[in-house]
Amino acid sequence: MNCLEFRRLVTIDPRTRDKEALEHRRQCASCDAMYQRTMATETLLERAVNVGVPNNLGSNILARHYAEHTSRTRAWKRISLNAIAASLILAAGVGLGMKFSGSASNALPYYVLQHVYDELPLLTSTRPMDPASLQKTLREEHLKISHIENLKYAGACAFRNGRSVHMVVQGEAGPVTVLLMPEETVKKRMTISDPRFTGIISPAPHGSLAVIGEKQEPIEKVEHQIRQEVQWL
Amino acid sequence: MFSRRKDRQFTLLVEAWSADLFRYAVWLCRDRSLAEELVQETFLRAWKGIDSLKDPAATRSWLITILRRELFRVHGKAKLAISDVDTADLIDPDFHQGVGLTMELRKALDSLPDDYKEPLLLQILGGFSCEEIADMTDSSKGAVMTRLFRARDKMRKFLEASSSEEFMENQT
Repeated sequence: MNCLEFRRLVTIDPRTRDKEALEHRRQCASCDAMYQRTMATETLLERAVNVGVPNNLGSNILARHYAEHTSRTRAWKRISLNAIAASLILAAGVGLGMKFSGSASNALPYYVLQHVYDELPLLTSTRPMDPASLQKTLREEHLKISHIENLKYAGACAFRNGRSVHMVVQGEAGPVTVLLMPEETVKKRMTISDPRFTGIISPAPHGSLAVIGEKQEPIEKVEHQIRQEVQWL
Repeated sequence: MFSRRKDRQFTLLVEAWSADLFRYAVWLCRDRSLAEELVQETFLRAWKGIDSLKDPAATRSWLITILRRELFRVHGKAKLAISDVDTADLIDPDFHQGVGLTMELRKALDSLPDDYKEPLLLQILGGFSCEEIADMTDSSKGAVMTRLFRARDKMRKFLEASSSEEFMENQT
């Protein structure tokens, strides 16, 4: 390998392990000096390309992955259970001439948690909110918010057969989901818990309010803040 | 269905490669939020194909290939052509923050044509060989070598000019 070939190779790939190149460097002081300069540049470039990585990038990926697979599994289970339940109800109704009606409020914590998992990317979303769009959404749901500290996201969501206002606020242990559900009535306060999240659902002037955060989150504090700052019109 | 082995393999992949993939993505799309979403999508797709991954040594290039496809699927290759778009809409305000020469180098790197910038990033961030870069970018090895040579030559000239300016400033 001559000097020209060596310099071209090192310019293309400074970390080359080509045996002929290594041998040439040992024998040629001028090319070795060129190599040292190239490696100094390489160090600067390495420093420049190493842009900062978001905190919890890995755990966010795993959380979303876990949530997507969990929700799919749950969705299949739900479909299966609903199918069985529907078959039994239909059979009973046809056979015995009975009418079936029941309250779904006992299942509300399950649906709330399911919704949080379905919308998990909102917890880490950093997209800026459009204030005009937010106010429009709130007006449509007969709600008014003066100011919520650490509000990261707010928007309207389909929830079961109705709608909800879905907000994410920054809590002490991580992002906290707040659902204002005008069409979901509960008679008393309910708690929510799974391996990752903890939360509450409680009666509101119209419908109900759900607050769900990470296990260590002081949920009551966030709930208190929301009740102070949200007006049900 | 989850299997513990597959789950563990996936966790290791995320822990080992998510940061590098994010850096690569943020250089390509110059938007940290979008880069994070791309990395998330890449790993979701990787999970589906993880059983087909036979050669552990090929893991990084496999992930990079998924990420590139995802970026092109979502935004189209045309959007990566810096000269064709208003970069003010794309660049994260924090992206060019840095100290002194590092910041200047980032701007210089960012101003390279994508055809030059991408192989250079793959080489510096991923440590990929010219053959591997050629496979990932659907190019010939010769084309990759030419692009790397030109990219590095531009960066070298930029640094030499920077050093001269600094020297001149110190003299005055």
